[in-house]
Amino acid sequence: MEELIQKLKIQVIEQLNLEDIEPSDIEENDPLFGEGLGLDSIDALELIVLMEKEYGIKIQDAEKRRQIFTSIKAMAEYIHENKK
Amino acid sequence: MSNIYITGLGIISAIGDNCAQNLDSLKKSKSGIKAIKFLQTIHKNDFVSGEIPYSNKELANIAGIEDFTKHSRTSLLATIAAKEAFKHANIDINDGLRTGMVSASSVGGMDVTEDYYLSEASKENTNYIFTHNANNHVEVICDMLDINDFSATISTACSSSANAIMNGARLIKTGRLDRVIVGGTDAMSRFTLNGFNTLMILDKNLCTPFDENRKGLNLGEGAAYLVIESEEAVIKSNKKVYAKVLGYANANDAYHQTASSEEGYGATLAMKQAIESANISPNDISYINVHGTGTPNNDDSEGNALKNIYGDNVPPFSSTKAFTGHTLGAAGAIEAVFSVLAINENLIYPNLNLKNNIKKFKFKPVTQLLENQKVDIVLSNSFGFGGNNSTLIIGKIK
Amino acid sequence: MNITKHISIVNGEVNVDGELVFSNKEADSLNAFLKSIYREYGIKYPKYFKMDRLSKLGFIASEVLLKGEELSEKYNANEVAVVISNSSSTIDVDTKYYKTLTDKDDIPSPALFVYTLPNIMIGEICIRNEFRGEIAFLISKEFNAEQIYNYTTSVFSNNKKIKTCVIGWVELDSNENYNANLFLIEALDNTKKNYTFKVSNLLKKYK
Repeated sequence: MEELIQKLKIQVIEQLNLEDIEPSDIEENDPLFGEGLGLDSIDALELIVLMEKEYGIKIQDAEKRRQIFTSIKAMAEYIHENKK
Repeated sequence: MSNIYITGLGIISAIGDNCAQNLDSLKKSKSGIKAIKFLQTIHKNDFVSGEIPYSNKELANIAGIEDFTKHSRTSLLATIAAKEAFKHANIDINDGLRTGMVSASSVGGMDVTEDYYLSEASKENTNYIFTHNANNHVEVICDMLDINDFSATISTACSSSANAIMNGARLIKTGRLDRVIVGGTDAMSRFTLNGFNTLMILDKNLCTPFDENRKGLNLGEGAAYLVIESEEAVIKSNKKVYAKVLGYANANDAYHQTASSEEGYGATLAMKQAIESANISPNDISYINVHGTGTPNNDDSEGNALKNIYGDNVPPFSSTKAFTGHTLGAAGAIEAVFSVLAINENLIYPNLNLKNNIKKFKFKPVTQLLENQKVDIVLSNSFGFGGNNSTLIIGKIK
Repeated sequence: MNITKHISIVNGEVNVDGELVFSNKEADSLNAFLKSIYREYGIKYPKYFKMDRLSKLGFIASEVLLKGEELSEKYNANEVAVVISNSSSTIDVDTKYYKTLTDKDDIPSPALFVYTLPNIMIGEICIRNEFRGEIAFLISKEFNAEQIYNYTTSVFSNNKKIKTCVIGWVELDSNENYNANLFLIEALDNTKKNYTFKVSNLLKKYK
């Protein structure tokens, strides 16, 4: 899980063009949206693309989206449960 | 505002090849949204759209163009609509009046470029390099109709052709031109279908504008043009006139690249300023043709903007996008043509597919065709990505 | 109306009112060049890094143009208009987005698609500066001073609310050739050198 979380941090930084941000700057439990990283709705869509591209997981339900992307930890847990 | 008269209309959309057919479909509540037939896409069976039911070859026939391979679909649609408007307005291009064209497109020639971009260049496909740019269709039409005094192409997403109409009117008002053919065009393409899909704002089924449970928009394609002329030009040629462009405005939401602010800042500013520019009050509006794409975001934002201006007492309103689909760069002009038809035919169009009104708003759209209505002034909204919000006000000739 | 300021970003150089203020010809890419201007001007706007290259070019050009102008103090949000034009629209990001569309191992990118409309670049400038006045994007074969002059004067004469306009040319073609020329058009007199807003002056200054 720890390895996945680290890998995810790097992938998120790359997918979302988060310049000047190091993996060590992101706390696994910090909110991704709103405060924390302050991501927006387009970033949310890019995270959906990331899930599909890197982990083969398709997310189509808007409600699910909100739960899965609350934090890096939440994303990692979802991947762990659903990875193909 | 000095008078800007509308003297000609031309349109092709999913609900008809010309004005008469479009009007007929509107009167019969007959939507043109159905399964995708011509666009080659892996999503063919996933989405419905307002695709026009002709191949490019068939469109070229309608347009009177011999070789369809020298044109993008966007350009073919534009040619059909522009020719109809030009003919309807009875223009004699050699009568000494200064004539221009202001048109709009967001797809440009992408509809064909995307088919050939990765192919090796051959005699058959290098045409499409020249048809790619958004201004290509303007060059084609100006050449065909011998329009030489001015031309411009506007590309501002879904508000493009409303902005073209606005710009054309201004060119007349500032005395630079006597008449302008204004409007826009866009064709279906994989580029846009996949793009909208990846933004997750498409409805797999028929769209439901202003419905509480709306899921997104249906894409469409089409083209529409209006001929607008100065008062002097109309008097000089003793022209039949169909309506007036009374006012317009454009304002920026300054909120997000593709979403609209919840408060509807940009939409409110555009509507308010358009109403002011027409020298009327909000209650003079007989009918509002809303942008109403059916996305959760737009209808909420636009609804809030309506509320900002009208409180709970909004004039009769509807979205016609459940008829045509969202025709992107052509939408403003298509809906302007519908507005003129509403005024002359005394109609208010139904907002199709509505099952549940949006709970938070006390006002609701018109859901049945209303006939024999006194439609004196129509307000038409076109809101584009990039926060580009435009409103047109069109009025009856009295 | 006066052209109260003009900037250009072309060939690795940034010029303000005809004077070279920054140069970086060593940058090995457009992104690197624009980032060096971003740093030089002390800009802190994380959203910048998500923009496509055309929007970055337009954004940086507007930051250079508006530095020191304090527009938000002189004007209300709905008094500022933006009219920009180019030839290639968004061909740079169109190509990148198209790759994600056609590559079997990729998925269409929403972040790239969002930028495939040239007026999004203007949208980014408006979001940054909270400009709520009119905006327009025109496409023409090359910088057409007469066209943009006509368009801008009709904005001013027809929309009395607009007091100032950011206008110009922001172009990035499919060969990475870039050119940004932005002009600030105001009715105000100020102590800086003014040039009457007219076609010949636009052409004189354009680089």
